[in-house]
Amino acid sequence: MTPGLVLGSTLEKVQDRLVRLAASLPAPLRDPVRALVARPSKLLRPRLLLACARLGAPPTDQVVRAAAMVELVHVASLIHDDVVDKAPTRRGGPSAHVLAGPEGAMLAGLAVLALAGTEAADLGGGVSRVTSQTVATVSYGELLDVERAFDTTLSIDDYVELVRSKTGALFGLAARLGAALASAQPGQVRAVARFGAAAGIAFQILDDCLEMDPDQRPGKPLLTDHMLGLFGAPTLYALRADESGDLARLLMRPGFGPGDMDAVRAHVTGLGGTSAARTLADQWRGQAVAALEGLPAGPARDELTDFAAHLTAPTR
Amino acid sequence: MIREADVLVVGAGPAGAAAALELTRSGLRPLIADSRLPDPQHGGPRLVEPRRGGPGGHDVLLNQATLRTLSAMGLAGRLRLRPVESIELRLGPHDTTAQLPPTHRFPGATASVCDRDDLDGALLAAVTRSAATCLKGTVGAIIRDEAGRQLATVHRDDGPPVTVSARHVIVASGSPPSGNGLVCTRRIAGTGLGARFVLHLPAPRTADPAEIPVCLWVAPGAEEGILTIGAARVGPADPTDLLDLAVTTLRAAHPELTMASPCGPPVTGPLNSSFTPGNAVAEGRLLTGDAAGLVNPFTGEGVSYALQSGLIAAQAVAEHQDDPHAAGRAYKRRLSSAFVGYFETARHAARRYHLGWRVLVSTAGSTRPVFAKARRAVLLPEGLSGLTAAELMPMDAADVATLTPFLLACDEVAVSTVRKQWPFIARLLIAGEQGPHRRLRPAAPFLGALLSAGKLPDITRATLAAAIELATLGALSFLGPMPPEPERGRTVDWSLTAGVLAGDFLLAQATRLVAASAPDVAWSFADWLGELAVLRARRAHPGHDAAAGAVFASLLEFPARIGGRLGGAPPSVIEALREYGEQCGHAFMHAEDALALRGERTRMDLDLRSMLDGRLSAIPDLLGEDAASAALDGDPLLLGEALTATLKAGFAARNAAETALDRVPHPRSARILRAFLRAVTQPMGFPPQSRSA
Repeated sequence: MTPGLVLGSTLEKVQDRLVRLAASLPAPLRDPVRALVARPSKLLRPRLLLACARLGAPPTDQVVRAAAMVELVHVASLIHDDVVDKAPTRRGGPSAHVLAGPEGAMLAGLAVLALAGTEAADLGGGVSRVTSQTVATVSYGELLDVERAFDTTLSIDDYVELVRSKTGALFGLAARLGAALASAQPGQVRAVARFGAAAGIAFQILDDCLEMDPDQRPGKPLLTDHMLGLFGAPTLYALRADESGDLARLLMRPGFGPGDMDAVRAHVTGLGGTSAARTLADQWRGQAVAALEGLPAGPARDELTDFAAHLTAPTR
Repeated sequence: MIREADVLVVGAGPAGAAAALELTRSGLRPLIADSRLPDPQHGGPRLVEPRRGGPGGHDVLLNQATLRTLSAMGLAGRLRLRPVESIELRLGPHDTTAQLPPTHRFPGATASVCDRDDLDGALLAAVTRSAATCLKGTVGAIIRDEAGRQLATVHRDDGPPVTVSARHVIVASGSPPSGNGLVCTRRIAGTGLGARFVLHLPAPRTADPAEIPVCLWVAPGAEEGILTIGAARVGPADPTDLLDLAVTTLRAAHPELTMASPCGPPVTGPLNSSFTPGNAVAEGRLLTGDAAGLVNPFTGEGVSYALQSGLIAAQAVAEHQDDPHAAGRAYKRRLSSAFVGYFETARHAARRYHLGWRVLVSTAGSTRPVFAKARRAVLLPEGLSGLTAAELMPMDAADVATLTPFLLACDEVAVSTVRKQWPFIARLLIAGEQGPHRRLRPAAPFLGALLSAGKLPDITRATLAAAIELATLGALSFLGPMPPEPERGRTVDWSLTAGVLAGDFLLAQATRLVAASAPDVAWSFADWLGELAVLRARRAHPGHDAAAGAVFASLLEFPARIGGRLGGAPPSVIEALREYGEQCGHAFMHAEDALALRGERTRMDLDLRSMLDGRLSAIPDLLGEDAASAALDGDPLLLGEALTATLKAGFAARNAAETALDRVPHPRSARILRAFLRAVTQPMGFPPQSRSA
């Protein structure tokens, strides 16, 4: 069987497990979660975990279980993010709080996180410990994300700290668990954890860049984050370059709405924000790839290199 | 001329006076310098006459802890105090034409007001009478010489400057001119709000995080008919604008003030709320009070912190008389445990403060238990302790001695877990509480159950206790009632957002503590969190039914069951503990209902309406939904019926819990658990048959 097919079939098992886990939740929390996990997604974190697991030959069921657990943590954070942002859609369908109301979604997110907790405990071997540390970091990232709302002066360093916590941490966990399940040497586990964190940061920056590109973002209402005062890397770079202050004024206007998005894009691109952000993403991608230097040549290293090269490529 | 001293105290305001008096109590003879002190070399020591009602004066609020400290300093009887009848918080719109913000009134407050000049005069007099050596003059530059001695130049009005060489220096000279904000006050006369103290925290005008919060207040004067308005702001401000804002906003909320006119000049000073424990020792000198930035940025309050930090500095010096470095280390360490919450060193301090402000004002109308508690902890002068009706657990000294070190260790873990990232939550956890070992808290039944097999408590289990408490707080932030949906638009729904963030954060930290300290409990812990989510969803979701008390039963069942398991109890005892915990939870729910029905404050800070709206009441389970809302509308018959049914159900739960405890053989374990149960059910009083008519 070719490696691609192996990955494909294992990913399907992860997806099946997610569906089963969602179905195991008690009513009335089950339905919004089931709807969310049934929709297509890139399963980036499971993918990363699976790639790292190829450092060895761990039992497939363990790998599948760990990958589904990591994805559950991600799903829980998506559900809560959407409650906070009042995002109407997620993965091309109505978001959990639309289906179950804000309170139902809050509790569904909590239940999913608790499910990830029991799964992590069942996996044993210190999985609970690293997972709970990661979840704590992600929740700190949520806090950083909210408290910077409408901050047009947020520094790139602070922004990177935010995405490192919010996105990098969970990528790092996925990588680490995959390598640990493969019984990789401690140095290799650390290397892929660094890879994961850096790749997560690069992914988030590139995701911000997509918001500046109207053609590449189906399913997500444009500029939602800007409406909520959550400015991504391109905009933050542009704000720093903007001596006139026009962009900041535009972004802070109380009446700011979807009609302003073309103006924002023009400003951000004109001020070099998007290209600066892409450069930053490339730096982090470079760091991710550099972290792989100590890994032996083989399927894990190849797949991870490929993972870093196609972080935001549409997969379905 | 060089004068030698062991300790030099710079300034004789609240912090300096407290430090100097505490030092003399330790047998030290500090030198205290202040330009307002009498000059013993020119006419000998004489008592300073306290000034009252001076033209530039203003009135300050003294909370219960402050009054206790002043009393211990021998001052309380010398001050003209006026008890404050109530403290009111108004959090909300800036715009004076908009609807007035909701008021939170806290009656029966234990605070008093006093003329600031009166307070200063009494402090100076106390210092003068004490064994401290007074030096009239203003301290200028202080340098530390190579031997580590501190050399201070004291300028005098009449005579050449004096150099003081001291081993220790306690700086209590107030806010530096370069403080990070401004505080303005002015006396007004001709009207009064009675003895009400009112604090306004207007909402932000814009979404801009660079906007700076301002707080405004009216303090009743020590004299009837006179009062002080005040305003404080962190960041640059114009004093005239700030006072104008205070007058306009306060008048809009209190039309009585329209008739009042100024009866003194505006008093303006720098505000320094930049405290971090790390910066409280500079060049070996201990900074106290305003000099250390110990001012609550939300309320401008600083007197209580000044006194407390002065005492702590003096104690650190007294314990390390020969070692200024050790004194400095001890001072920093104690400050960081004493002043949790408002002040933390962090790269994100400004943003976090801003978030705190937005959350406080946007949750002004929220009855979510966590917000009600946060409001109280952050804004009220007493924190939680002065005003809570929290029942203390009735216990004998030996049991208290068992419980105290464990619960203190639990607090320490909980506070250090959250303080850096969420200082406001850390404030919730301690908030100047008294008797932490006797409060109604889930760590108490956990410890009681941990003792159930007769083994001594393992102090390292305090980490798990902290996890249980953080998780309980986190769960409370996910419990209804839901905040009302704000207007659609370009705003963050801070109320909902803060609930989600705080809940996620607390539960994540709790889970982390469990995984690190008790990995064998990790599965049960996660399972418990999932159960809480489901029970709450089944209660809140139409078409599903869980008893109102089910969530609380689960909240208390877990600590009791896990405590028994970790304590090595046999299965039959663990089962009894589980039953006990569940019934405690149901009893708690009924006791909350009883308090709400009687119109008293509940432990979750909810009233009857928000309990019913939030589906956090067992009354509909007992009487049906219709009867419950009729009781809410004030139908006296139904109110009485609801109370009777509530008490009946509450006593049944209490009896069931008691019966379960009969199966817990270890006496100390059973005693502690019984004391907890009593505290839980205390609001229900005694069963009807034993109550006099």
